[in-house]
Amino acid sequence: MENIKVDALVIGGGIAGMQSALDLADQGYLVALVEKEPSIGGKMIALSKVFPTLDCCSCITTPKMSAVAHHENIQLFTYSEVQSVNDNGHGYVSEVLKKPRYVDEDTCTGCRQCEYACPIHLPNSFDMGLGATRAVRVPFSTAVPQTAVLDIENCILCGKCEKACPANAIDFNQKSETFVLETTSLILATGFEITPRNAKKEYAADHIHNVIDGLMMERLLAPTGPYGRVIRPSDGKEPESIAYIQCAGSRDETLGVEYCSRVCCMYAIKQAMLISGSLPLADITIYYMDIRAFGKGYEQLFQNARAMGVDFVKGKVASIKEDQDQNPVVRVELMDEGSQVVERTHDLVVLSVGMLPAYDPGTVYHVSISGDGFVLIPAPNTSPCITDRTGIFVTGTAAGPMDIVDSIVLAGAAAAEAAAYIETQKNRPYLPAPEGERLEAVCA
Amino acid sequence: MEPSPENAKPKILILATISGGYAGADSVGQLHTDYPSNTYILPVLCPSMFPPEFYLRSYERGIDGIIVMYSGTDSPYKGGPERTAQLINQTYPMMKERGMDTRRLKLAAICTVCTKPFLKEVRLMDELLGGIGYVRDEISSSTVPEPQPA
Repeated sequence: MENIKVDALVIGGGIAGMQSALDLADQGYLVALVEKEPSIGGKMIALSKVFPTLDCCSCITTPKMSAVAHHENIQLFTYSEVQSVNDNGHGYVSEVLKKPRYVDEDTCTGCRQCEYACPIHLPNSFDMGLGATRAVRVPFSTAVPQTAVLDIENCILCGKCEKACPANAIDFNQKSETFVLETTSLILATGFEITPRNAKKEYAADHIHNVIDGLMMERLLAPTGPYGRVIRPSDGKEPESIAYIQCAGSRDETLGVEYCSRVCCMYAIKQAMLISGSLPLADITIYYMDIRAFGKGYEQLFQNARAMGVDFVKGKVASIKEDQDQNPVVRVELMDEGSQVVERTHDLVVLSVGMLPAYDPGTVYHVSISGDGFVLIPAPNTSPCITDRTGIFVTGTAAGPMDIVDSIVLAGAAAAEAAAYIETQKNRPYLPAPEGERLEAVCA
Repeated sequence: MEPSPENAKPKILILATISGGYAGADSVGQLHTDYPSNTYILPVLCPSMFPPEFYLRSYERGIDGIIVMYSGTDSPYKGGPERTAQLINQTYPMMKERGMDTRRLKLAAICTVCTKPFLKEVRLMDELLGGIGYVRDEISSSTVPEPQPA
């Protein structure tokens, strides 16, 4: 394959990466977007609603996904990962590995006949393991591109998908490919992962089925979710008492996560309000250390939740155990009630887990990483998306925990910085970047 | 079983895209929500593959109303929504020529979570057909041209 030359390479196809790519492409710049998953959309496409407006996430994300795929200035590479990035004096040369889908992207129409024929059932990662999927599948209903992907690790090579495919698109002999992208600028939008549900051993999420995390509850609340309703995983019962445990993965030195993840308070409040709509008789309790409702309209959402009857209890949950009916029992100190320690039984417990960096870009992109694991921004107050390597910018939660609103704002800023940088590089004489030169942190 | 004249109702065909309207219909089913039983939902990849003659033949063969539930701006297929809209626009004058009420054909953008819009569109079409009746009363005899190769 010939080298592909574009103005900017965006790494990550979540909401921040898509927004940066669209903002650059709309200005006429050629953009390549590389996404490691089989579909773009990131975490946001799996969410139910956004706070504080309670708008449909899918309705915001899907048009952007389609716009990215159809934009004449954007080349989309899904199921691909950047392996190395080198400075060639004029910009960056990136080597990209395209992983095999075992499905021909040019001929697959996304008709899902292969999926219907596949006899292997697996936990659906898009539904956070709550529903089932097949070894060959279109990742989810609004996936972009609408191309199936075959999980070769779990495939038994029965060939049923190959026989069912009307386009003869199944190709068990497909190999990974490597190609080279030459770009002037890079934007890192590698996103975040959530704190593992079992990170806090005291909460015993490993063996208590009815202790779930915030993203699992998002899928239960989403109209496209695994069950179409809110039921608890162990027995399918509609929960009558639901508890949220805040800071279950943030502000916790024992986990090595000392920072606040900035979204957990608000998504818990949002979910509590949505549950009030779908299960009007359920009691909802939120155990919190502080409620951080800092954005526009956030405090109002908090007050609305209180007015709707959501019970906010100040106290850090110490541990969770399970009773004989599979109900989680939380042990908590009620700080506003004389600091008495009590045990309360709920039908379902949701851990408000925090954000962790998804990926260490230091090894491939040679940008510095700050102490919390996110990309270092030398001048966060004045240049919040400029890394310490010239021409490489950062956006979204790769820069640190932030909500969707802030991610989109920063994506626009990163696109503007990248566009300005591309303009300065036009007709610039060959000038290799000095090795090891770094911007100094000026606003620590 | 042939419906008896007392319980027969005009038939509604729904072309629903797999990435949009069909998933929306699935969500309606998961919610256990009622909608008229005289609906026939056909999952399609993209309705831009259906020429005007398809709709005309459907009316000739006993379908009384058609709702094309496409994905609109959500469509994963480049140019699909625009092409679908063009084809629907081409169909309307052909329906008029045959004396058909053009309200029998409707294009609606329905996404994966559009349960309420789905129910609304089906209800509106059902109410409309309840008022204007069967298409066979409008087209006693007509000829539909064979589809032209693209």
